[in-house]
Amino acid sequence: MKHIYESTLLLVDDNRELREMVVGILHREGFSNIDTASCVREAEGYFRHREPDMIILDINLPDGDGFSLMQKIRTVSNVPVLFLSARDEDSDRLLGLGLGADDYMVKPFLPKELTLRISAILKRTYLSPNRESCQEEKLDLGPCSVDFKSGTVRWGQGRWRESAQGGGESKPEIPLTAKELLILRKLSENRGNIVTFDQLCQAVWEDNYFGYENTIMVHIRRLREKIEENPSKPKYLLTVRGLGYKLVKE
Amino acid sequence: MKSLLKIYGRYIGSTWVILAILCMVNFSVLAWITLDRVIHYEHEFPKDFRKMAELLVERDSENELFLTQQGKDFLEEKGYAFLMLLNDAGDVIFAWNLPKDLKDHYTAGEISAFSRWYLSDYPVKVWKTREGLLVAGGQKNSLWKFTLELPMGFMEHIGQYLYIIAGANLMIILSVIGFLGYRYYKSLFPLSEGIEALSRNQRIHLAEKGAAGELAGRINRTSDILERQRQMIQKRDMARTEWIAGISHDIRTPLSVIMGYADELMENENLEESDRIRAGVIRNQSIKIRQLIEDLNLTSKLEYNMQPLRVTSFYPAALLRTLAAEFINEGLDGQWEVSLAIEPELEGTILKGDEELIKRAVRNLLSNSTRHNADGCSIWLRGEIRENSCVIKVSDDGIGIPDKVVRCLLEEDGDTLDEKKPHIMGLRIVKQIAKAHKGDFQISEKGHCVNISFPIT
Repeated sequence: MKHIYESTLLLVDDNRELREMVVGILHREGFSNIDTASCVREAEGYFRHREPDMIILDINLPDGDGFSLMQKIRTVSNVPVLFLSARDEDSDRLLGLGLGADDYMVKPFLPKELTLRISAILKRTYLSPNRESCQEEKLDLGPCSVDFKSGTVRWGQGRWRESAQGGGESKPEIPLTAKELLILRKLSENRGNIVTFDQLCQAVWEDNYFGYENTIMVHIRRLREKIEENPSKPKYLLTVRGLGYKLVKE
Repeated sequence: MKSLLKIYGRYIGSTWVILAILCMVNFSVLAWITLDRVIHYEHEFPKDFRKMAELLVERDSENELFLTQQGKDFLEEKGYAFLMLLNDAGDVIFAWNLPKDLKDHYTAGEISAFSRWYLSDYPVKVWKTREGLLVAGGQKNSLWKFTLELPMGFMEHIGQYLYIIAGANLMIILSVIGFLGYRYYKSLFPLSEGIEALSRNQRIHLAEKGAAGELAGRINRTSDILERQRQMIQKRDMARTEWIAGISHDIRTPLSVIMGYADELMENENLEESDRIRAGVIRNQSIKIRQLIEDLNLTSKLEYNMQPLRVTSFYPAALLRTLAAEFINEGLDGQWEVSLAIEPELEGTILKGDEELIKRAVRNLLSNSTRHNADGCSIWLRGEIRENSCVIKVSDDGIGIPDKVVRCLLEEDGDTLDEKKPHIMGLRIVKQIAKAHKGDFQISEKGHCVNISFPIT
């Protein structure tokens, strides 16, 4: 598969209007191969002839339920599944995700959210050989850019601050430590939004993250020295007082 | 239990009082009768035999003994049968109406015998006069005579003995009262316990035996009725919650279609700008309906304890930072400025509770501030520790929560929704979430500040 829009999607829902609406949304988004089924029997019949790239599955169906249909499908195929249901109980979500579904969405939903989630699942499943690489590889910060793969900051030639690293010698590549990379990754995933101290600490130290706030501050200071032109007046990595940090969108 | 003990105490107390009154009445009546008799006796005294004795028989001018008119009147009036006078030798020297069966001479032994008892069944009275021994006989069977002889020592202490006897009697009476009262108390004790349990809304079953068996039976039946009603209410509550859950489920699919098409129309560049705005309104109102049905579902579940708490341990300080960041990230801080203040003591404090529900409560409060102050306001979000509770305060300088809503929220005790009451689902959910965590919900600063607290265990 070269592009996710080439994938075949199977939508299983008993409500005709909803099926038509979702098909419309997906068409507009660029998906061209969309098949539909209105009940468990139809979906099983479809599966006997071909296997879709992804299934969007309702739970309440006239002749059964989505959970058991998914269990049956899992015995023959590992196709990604997104539950799209009116059931909003936590227990239903947990059951669905526990069965191995890739996502669970509750109706009513905004079309954009549905297409984003479907795209994310398809990209994750078919376009990347592993999960790590489905994340952004590069982060652009004006005069410099961060390469997450190599864990380095690349500065444009001649733009490297001479004062910061001493000597007049240009140093286009600066390595980042593992923790700096984790912090930067978390911030870049939420670029434009505030990430609280707690979320950063959790991203770096996972459980038992409490009490690392000052350590985070030290890491941020070092990061700024590597990615900001003027670390005392940062333009990209900003502090939001009392809350956390924010990586400004370009 | 306490009330029964009180009843027992009062019973003993009132018995004492009744007893005391009874004793006093008895004493008074006795005193009155005795006094009356003494006075009466004094009054009758001159007519008494002993005083009359000297006046009954006199000697006439010829030195013959005769019964005086005064004496005759007295004997007849008093109903005496006969009268005789004995000289020192024991001979009858004068007689009046003397029965035939009586002798005219008596030995000293016979005299001493009849003087105390009877003379041929006639009760007699004897008095020594200057003429001799005067013997007056009453009618047969008219008088009962009894001679009392008591040792002097006993008579000297009779007062003490009377006290002891009275005291012993009193003690016996009181202990009998106490014992009977205790038995009464024992038999009512389970009933009292049962009624107390009923008042705590517990189901009971008492043993239906003894004096209070019938009462116990009635209390048992009352308990059964209450239990049935409780079950019925529970069933009805459950049905209502399920009904609301069902409705909110059924609305979701059609609402998805409305939201989907409205969104499509909104994005459609071939449409007139005004139509696209209208489509946007439909979409945004649909989002509001979605929020409303979610709230309705949650509030009904919280109301009838059908929302299980997903309890985890978390840092409330981190939760508040996340919510404040979320608020700012949504781009809402242009019009509404949010400031976060967390007490240093709260940092590192762990709270046990349903994190998502508590987030929901704070989100509701924040969105209340923005929704009711469309022109913008300052919002303060504070986290504090007060008396082993984590207190979250949300306040603003906007219009504040109306008095009517405040009153309604604080007065209402989880009861049914009154039609006249204002619709306050968002705040009700906040209160319910606090209560579900055994916490507290308060509104202060004239409706400008809501405090919710959660106990730290």
